[in-house]
Amino acid sequence: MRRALALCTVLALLPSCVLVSAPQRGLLSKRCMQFNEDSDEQVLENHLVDSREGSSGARGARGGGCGCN
Amino acid sequence: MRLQLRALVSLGAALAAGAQAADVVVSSKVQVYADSDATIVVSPHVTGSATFGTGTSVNATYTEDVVSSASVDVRTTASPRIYDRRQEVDFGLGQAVLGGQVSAAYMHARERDYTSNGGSLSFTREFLQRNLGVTARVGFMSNLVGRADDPAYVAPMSDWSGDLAATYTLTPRTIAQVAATVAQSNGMLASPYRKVRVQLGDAVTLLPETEPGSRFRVAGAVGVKQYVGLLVAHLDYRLYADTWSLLSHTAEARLVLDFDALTVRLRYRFYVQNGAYFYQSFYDAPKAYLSADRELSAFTSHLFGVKLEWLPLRSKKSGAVVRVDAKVEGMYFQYPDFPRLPTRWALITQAGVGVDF
Repeated sequence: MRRALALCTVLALLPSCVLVSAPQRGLLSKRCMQFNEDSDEQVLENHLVDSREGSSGARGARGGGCGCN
Repeated sequence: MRLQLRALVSLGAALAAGAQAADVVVSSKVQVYADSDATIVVSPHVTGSATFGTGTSVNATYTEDVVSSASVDVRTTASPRIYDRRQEVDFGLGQAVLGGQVSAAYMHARERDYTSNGGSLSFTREFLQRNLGVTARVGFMSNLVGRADDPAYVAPMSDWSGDLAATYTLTPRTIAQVAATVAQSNGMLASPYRKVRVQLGDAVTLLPETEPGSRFRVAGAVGVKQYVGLLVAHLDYRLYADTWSLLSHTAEARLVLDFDALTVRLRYRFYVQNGAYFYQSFYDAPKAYLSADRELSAFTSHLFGVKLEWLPLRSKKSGAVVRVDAKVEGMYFQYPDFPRLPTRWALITQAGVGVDF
């Protein structure tokens, strides 16, 4: 209950943050500022890691491959 | 490599030939993984996407794993070395609707003892004058687990998953992301090959691995990126837990030097997990569940490396951008509860090329 309240508080406060307008987004539009700046690399890495760590599967993981079976 | 380039060019030409394609991207990578446990995996990967003026987008991806392994896991199956090949194709279709983007995807993967078919639906929308982006996704995967030495053996396994992610622009130089995932797996979750050493009376015998037929997983992640001068600092943390009592923490730090046409990325990733409640490297008596899978034991890993990305060509006339990249990373694993392989080193190299038309 306390966690849900904290989450609601954060969500409620988000709109009160300063909104960044389009002309201010020069740096944010750079590829290196994207969270998924290289999706090909991410796909290959998730596949590699998911078959070598026990916490696989919570990333839309795929079965088999990489000598893991 | 030649075949891969040919596929890349063909894919790009096909997508570019699409009527009035507003944005076409094709890219390809090759990754080579080699470790001190006698395993080598070569993974070529080709992908292409096109977005049209109508708000429709399509994408297609092909990925392959060519595996050669004589790891300690393989040797318990009495095979000196295995060779395997896994092929995967993905198709996606997106459409701008309701002020956002709805996407559907299908994937098929197969190897000689494993077949997967799956699909997902996702919806992405931006709010607060594009300062907040939210993505929701549900996915399903149906797998058939087989045995290379027994064509009659088939065991089903399925996965349901749901993801929710939000990215928020905090300042003109700072963005943050939170994400949560739940997943449910049912069916054959153990390896049909792996054997477990069990004490039976005075003798030690090898019994097949058995694991619970159900597993519920939940994970949450937070990340932040900050642009400072020529640098981008990127921090990530992920927490994972499941019904096998496995808990893991992943922390990652990236530093990107941005020279416009050239970026240099330095990266460190730390991973730690406890073991699944039924994991043992050796059993002194038979139990309901038996697993000596080192991926279910307690272990830590460290990843560190460097990546270069270069834009050798940017056409102001057509807007086309050519991108090449290369990375070298090392991984070090420590398995304190897996006596047959206390440590493992791995080297990951990757090279890629992409064109944005």
